[in-house]
Amino acid sequence: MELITRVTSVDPTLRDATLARLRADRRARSRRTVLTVSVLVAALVALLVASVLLGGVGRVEPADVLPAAFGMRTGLADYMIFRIRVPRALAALLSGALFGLAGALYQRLVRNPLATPDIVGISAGAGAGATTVLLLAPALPLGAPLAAVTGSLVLLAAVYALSLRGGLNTYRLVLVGIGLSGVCTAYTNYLFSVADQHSIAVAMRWLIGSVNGVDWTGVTTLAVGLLLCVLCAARLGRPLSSMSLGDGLATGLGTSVPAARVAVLALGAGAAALATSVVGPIGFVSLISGPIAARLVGADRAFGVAPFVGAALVLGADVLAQNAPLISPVPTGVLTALLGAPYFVWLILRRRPGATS
Amino acid sequence: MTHPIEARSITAGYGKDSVIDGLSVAVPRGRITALVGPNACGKSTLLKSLARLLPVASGSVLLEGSDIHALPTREVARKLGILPQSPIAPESITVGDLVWRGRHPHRRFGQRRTAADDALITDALLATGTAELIDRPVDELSGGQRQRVWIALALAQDTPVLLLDEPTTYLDIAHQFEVMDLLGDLNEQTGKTIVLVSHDLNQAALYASSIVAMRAGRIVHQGAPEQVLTEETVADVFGLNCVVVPHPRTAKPQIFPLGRRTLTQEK
Repeated sequence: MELITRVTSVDPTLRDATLARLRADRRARSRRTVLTVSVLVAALVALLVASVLLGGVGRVEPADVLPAAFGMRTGLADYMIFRIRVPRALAALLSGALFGLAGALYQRLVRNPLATPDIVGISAGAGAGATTVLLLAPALPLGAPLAAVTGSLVLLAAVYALSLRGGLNTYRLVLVGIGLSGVCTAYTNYLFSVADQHSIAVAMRWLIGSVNGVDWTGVTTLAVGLLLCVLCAARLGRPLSSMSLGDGLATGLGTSVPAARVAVLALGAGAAALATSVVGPIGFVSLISGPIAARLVGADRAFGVAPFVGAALVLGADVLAQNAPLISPVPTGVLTALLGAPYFVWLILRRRPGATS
Repeated sequence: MTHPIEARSITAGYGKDSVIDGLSVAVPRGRITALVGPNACGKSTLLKSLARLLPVASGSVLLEGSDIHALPTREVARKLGILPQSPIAPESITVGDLVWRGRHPHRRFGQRRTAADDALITDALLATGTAELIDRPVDELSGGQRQRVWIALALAQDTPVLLLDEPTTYLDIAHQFEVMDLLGDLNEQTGKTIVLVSHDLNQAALYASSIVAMRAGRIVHQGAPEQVLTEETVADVFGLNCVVVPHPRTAKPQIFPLGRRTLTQEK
């Protein structure tokens, strides 16, 4: 500390004033983040309640709804609330958070607000894997989710191996990802062209993505996965914030850039693959959660807020998917695409020419 | 005697091509050393190798006598700071938040920022004249302000050795001298060892007490400005004829290039 003080012989009043401004500025932005997260959490609670109650509780007594939500009733109330609606709402919330986290990780890593794990082909790989099982071996228990995870991890490994020549280059990673995604899509389309009508309908539904029919096993998978991913992401927070200054300065600040980059790539892909395996590739959530969070709290702090935004997006979209007039019920993925795609286009249009982040 | 930073017959470059081959250099402690030389002579490559940003294909870089690649990178970051030529400011980050990142190597995982961190950041902002900008987004600043913010980050890192790649490029002449004065003050009053890549020989002569002249990946001259900046050396290193005269106030050597058209204007 004395290192610099001795140099500058600064007026102590000015020094105290600067220190106070530094702290005030930081406090103001921390307050904004806390406030934003609080509002999002309140919205999530409201959406959870809406998701369980809307669409009518039918012959379930209103007094039974709350106990039933915690599994304390039997019969119709138990079935409607505890077996169907609560897991569905929780799956929407948890998968949304995973997609939001995955997107935010990639956006920070690639320094581009439009990046998602899909650039390394996570959705295409998961789709190819799940479609293979759904069309060729539909009877396999847990087949589609396992095949989806396998498919996306195989594709990630292939993209990674092909991009590695002479050190990992993010730009090459993206281009190889696009190429291999194309191969997966071609393969999926081929399967569709030879399958029977019923299997095609089932596979299409999976590819659109929906939280419909998720059970407690799925919810547990998502919850444990989210917990692990958040713990790992917290560990990677500082390396990521250094790496946003460029690889050279990040190394200078004591970050092992190659190791951190692989960890972020794997974690983001893992989070997206896990969510996809349970609810299918629900579109646009990983893409728009980060930019929305950036608008709320500033790009520098968006990382921690994006999972909350993702959760609110999927849960909100699912409430609409179940209850919106004229179109409901539709798969959740239809609604997220319907809402997300225009926002995405708007994001591209408002970007400054030549912006890199 | 160990040197703060030293290269022993290192070979380094990009891909298969080595830019520097079997180069050795020892940086004198507590001084400002300027690396000068023509474009593509390997001075940036040398700086990056000294800062472990580039791996060395052979030879070793020693930080206080120990192999820099064998030390944990965070430990290195507490002893050696590097300001690359074009660092990236993340979108909408404020000056205060950016400079705070200079404290990263000093924090363990989960550790909160301390009063000492804040004091250092404050001093770094004041020393670089950027205190007024604390809450401004970095991407809205002028080039000169931005460069001073980057130097503030490097100061907040608080390392005994600081390497800078062309710290005054993109700055107007007043800001250039402001930055060089700041580095001079830091060096003189705290004994910080500073190594910088410079394209400006006259500035290097005024501020550095040790000059390393490179050509084609090799060190061709090393020593005090008076020894290195001679008419013969400049012709040898840059292939440029010049007149060297002592600075009217400091008597440091200053070069006046003689271009092909300069002589036709001779009075």
